[in-house]
Amino acid sequence: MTQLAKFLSLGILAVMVWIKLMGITDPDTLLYKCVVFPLPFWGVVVFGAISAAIVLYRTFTFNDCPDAAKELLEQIDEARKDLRKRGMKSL
Amino acid sequence: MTSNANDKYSILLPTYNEKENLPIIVWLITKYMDEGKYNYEIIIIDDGSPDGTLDVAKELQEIYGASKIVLKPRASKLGLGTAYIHGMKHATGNFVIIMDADLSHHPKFIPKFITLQQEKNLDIVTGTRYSGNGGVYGWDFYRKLVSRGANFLTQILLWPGVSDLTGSFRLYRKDVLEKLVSNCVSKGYVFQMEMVIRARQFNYTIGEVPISFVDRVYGQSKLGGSEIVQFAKGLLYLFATT
Ligand SMILES: Nc1nc2c(ncn2[C@@H]2O[C@H](COP(=O)(O)OP(=O)(O)OP(=O)(O)O)[C@@H](O)[C@H]2O)c(=O)[nH]1
Ligand SMILES: [Mg+2]
Repeated sequence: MTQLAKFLSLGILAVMVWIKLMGITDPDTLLYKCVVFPLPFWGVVVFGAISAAIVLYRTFTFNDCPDAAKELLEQIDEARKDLRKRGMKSL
Repeated sequence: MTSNANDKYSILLPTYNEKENLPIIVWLITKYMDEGKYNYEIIIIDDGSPDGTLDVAKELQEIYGASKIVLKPRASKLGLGTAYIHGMKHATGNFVIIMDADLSHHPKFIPKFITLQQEKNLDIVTGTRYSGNGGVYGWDFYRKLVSRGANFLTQILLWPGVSDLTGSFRLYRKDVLEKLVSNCVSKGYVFQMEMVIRARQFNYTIGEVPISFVDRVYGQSKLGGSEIVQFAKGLLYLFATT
């Protein structure tokens, strides 16, 4: 099963649950008007908010590696010196 | 441990205008591979770089010997994906390591890849910038955001089971790499992603080693602004077909 097919199945399942919920809720109640009927909308909002929070959190906590950069610069120097000693003319 | 005295590692270095970086990366690879007493060769695939990278490679071959430094140049810039395939055909090791020659991938991690492969008898080990103490250097907020966003989307849509799909610092068993390459249809950037997805389909075992990715010090980036578009297309293609 492709990822697309998995997502479609999940989507159809979700729609079926939603339709069922609408069937068993009284249409004149606030619960129906504010929650059950606009449930897909709320789903998108909640999913989007959680996703944005995760991505932002991971962006801010993305490791910076200044030590790795420093080590590399030192090793570049070392390598150039050693290679010149071994007869590398283009350095 | 499933370490084998006959193991040989073929390290593929595709280069395009890497005159300054090539001597350094080769020096670093030999340093760490010699320290670990590994049997290895470095295969340099230069695509007719106008800056004279090939001349530098020849000089290095004289210093380190033709059994350590193998030159497999091509006449013109044919792209990164085919450079790997070209290099792989000439690899004599039973393991192949793929890495960038621009010093973003530090050779100090290679022994860690090898150790993990041996400990768990893995088919593939991939470097990851996204987990453990992996990370980056020289990226601004925007680049980090795009990178994290793209990675999140990939995780949601593909469930790859691997945290860094677009990284190109990896160790493969040679027969595994051959099988994957012959089953991958994508080109360029998306190729790395497809390799991991196909590997999962074939039930190959994959391990991850956190790496620090330092932005290139010398030279120009070769992958332009179309990167994001290419990535999105590749992601959708893999989403719909795998
Ligand atoms: N043989 C060959 N090597 C290439 C080609 N394009 C890129 N490379 C090499 O592939 C490696 C990765 O390319 P980069 O330009 O560093 O790509 P990147 O890491 O996404 O971009 P930057 O690090 O930001 O420059 C480097 O070693 C390049 O020299 C190509 O067409 N042919
Ligand atoms: Mg690079």
